[in-house]
Amino acid sequence: MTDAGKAAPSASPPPRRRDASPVRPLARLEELPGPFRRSFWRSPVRGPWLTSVFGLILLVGIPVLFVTGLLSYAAYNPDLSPINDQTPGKGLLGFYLFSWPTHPVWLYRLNQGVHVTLGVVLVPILLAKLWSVLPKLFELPPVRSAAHALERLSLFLLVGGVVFEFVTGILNIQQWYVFPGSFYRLHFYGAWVFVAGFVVHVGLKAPRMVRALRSRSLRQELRTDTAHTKPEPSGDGDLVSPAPAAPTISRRGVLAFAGGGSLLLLALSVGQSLGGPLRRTALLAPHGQEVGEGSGDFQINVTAAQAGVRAAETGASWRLVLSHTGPGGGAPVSLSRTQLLAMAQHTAHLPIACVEGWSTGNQAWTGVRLRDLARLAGAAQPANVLVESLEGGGTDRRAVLSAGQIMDLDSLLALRVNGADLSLDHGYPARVIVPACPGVHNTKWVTRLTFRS
Amino acid sequence: MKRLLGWYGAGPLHLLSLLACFALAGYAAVQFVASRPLAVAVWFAGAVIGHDLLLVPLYSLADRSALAVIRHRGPGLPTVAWINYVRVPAALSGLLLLIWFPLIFRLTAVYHASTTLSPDPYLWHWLAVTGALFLLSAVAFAIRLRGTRVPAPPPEGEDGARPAGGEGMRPEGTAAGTGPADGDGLRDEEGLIAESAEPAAQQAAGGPAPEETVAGPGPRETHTGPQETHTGPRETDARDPGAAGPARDQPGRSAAAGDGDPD
Repeated sequence: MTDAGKAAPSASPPPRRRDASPVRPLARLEELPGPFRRSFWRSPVRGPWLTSVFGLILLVGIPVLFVTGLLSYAAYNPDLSPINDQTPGKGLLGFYLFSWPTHPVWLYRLNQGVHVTLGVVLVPILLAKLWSVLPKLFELPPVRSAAHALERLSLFLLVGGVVFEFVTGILNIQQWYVFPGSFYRLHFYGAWVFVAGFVVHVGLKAPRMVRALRSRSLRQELRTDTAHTKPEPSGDGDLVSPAPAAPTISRRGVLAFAGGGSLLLLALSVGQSLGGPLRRTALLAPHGQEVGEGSGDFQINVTAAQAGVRAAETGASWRLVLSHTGPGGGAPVSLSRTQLLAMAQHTAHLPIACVEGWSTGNQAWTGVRLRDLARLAGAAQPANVLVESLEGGGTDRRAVLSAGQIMDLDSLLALRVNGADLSLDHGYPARVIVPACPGVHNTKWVTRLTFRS
Repeated sequence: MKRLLGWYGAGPLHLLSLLACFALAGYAAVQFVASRPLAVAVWFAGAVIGHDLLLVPLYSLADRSALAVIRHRGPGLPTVAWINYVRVPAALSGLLLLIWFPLIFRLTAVYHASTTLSPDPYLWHWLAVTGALFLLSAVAFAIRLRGTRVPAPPPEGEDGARPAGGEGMRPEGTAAGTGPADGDGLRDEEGLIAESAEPAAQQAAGGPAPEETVAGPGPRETHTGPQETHTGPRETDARDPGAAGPARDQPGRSAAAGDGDPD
């Protein structure tokens, strides 16, 4: 960003006067300060074609982020119970909710992996797109008409919304909770504010984007090096500099630059969602390390100590209390861990997948089927079950599972994993594991199951 | 109605879609700001200000500073435009830092307590990746430099290796758009993009002499290009009494490029 006053006179052609506005006093554009002067912006590669290429990538990527985000929200089954609902005031914004399925078992794992990894990978594209349109922020006059004023206000929703969503998401996966309030609330409602701006922006700019993309051949651009890079014709819009500097990078160079950034981010983070030997390739991602070097252990996101679960509570005195509210509900049933191990045991191969995007491959969980426990409690056809943990507090302390989740043959109250008793950090004495279910709903240190008919 | 739309400044569809946009955003915003309205509003507006008025000016300033260094470089420094060999690894390293700084600087107090993982390696991972990026860039630059600094036509083997090296660096984004304006560089690019043996062979024959490039029977469609860009170096040649031969053509061009602004 050159201040034209500093630029060598031999290098910059005298700025051409342009009539950006019919308003007379602002016609003397060259006397305006800094970025408000159009010749302040000197990049020779900035122009509608380049902006449209980045716009097109985001036009594909952002809807994927939005849809996977909504699906992630649906996976909590917020309509099932206020306990599951992190955003009780959603009203119409929950119009699409449906009972989250249990198959395929990797559904939530894939959804969150895509949501988080794609979000990280799109950062360079987003930065490039915002860079390419930055002169518009300083356009003069600031308001040309009521229509223009409303459109600029919608751009505030768009830019503020997209940066807000990326920042809160990226901070949350690193567990740096500095944002003002519940992540669920901020990321969910912020997404709707952003999408309002996004949809109207796409609607208003789509014709221009198509025109700009057709104005140049991508093939030709990929053949053009820096020396041959010339500014786009300034006919369509005001992104093109009136006083372009000599190019230091070609348009294909800019595309390679942003695309290379995306590939680098992908390479350094996707391992935490793929798991297995590839986990270690995630050099910069929160779950790119193995738990307990060489122990064959798998990822944890809340330890017993952090959850306030004391060893004394999980010893021989621990009991699982089963109860049934509704017609036919009898007295609660209390079971020791030994009694649970004496029941029919079943093994299910299921992953753990977190809302933060990391996940593990399938682990071999062994325990009692939830449907068997429901029958034992006297609920042959339960509508749902409230799962309660020994945890002292926090949102993971309680969760409600749907009838479909209870009745799935792979839904367990797990007592063992990979051939050994659960470790305390994995939820000893017993934890819930349900296929395709968000990690936080696979409650650890379970103490009570209340089935409702 | 017509007068109303005339005052509004756009068609009715424009008005309706914007009103729908604000209705939806307003509906969500009521809950969005519900618990701590001021803090949320500050974060939202801060997102715009932080990007547009802080991040972009900062990286632009860094970029301009690097360009200024090139412009005022000493006489003994390399004669190839090297801004992108610095710009690309520095920006990619900065991008990693921008996204992962809470992890790198261990700002997450609960990280170890919740995951049992060590918070220590990320700083070293970031430094190692940064080092690797600069190393790759330096290798790419060395390959480029070796081909362009030798005034006489280089031996066959050395020349043949050059396009391959350039191609190897391309996925990192380091080689793209390095843009020395000499014919050598142009034909290097042409050979890679067209994936044709002919330009590479041309290069082997032509070597680093830009004059021959223009005259050569290589990729015809680019000939108008090189001709035009050669006016640039010529002008700077006039200003720079030292720039006489083909090899000295480069510094002149670099200086011209250095005047430019990539924003």
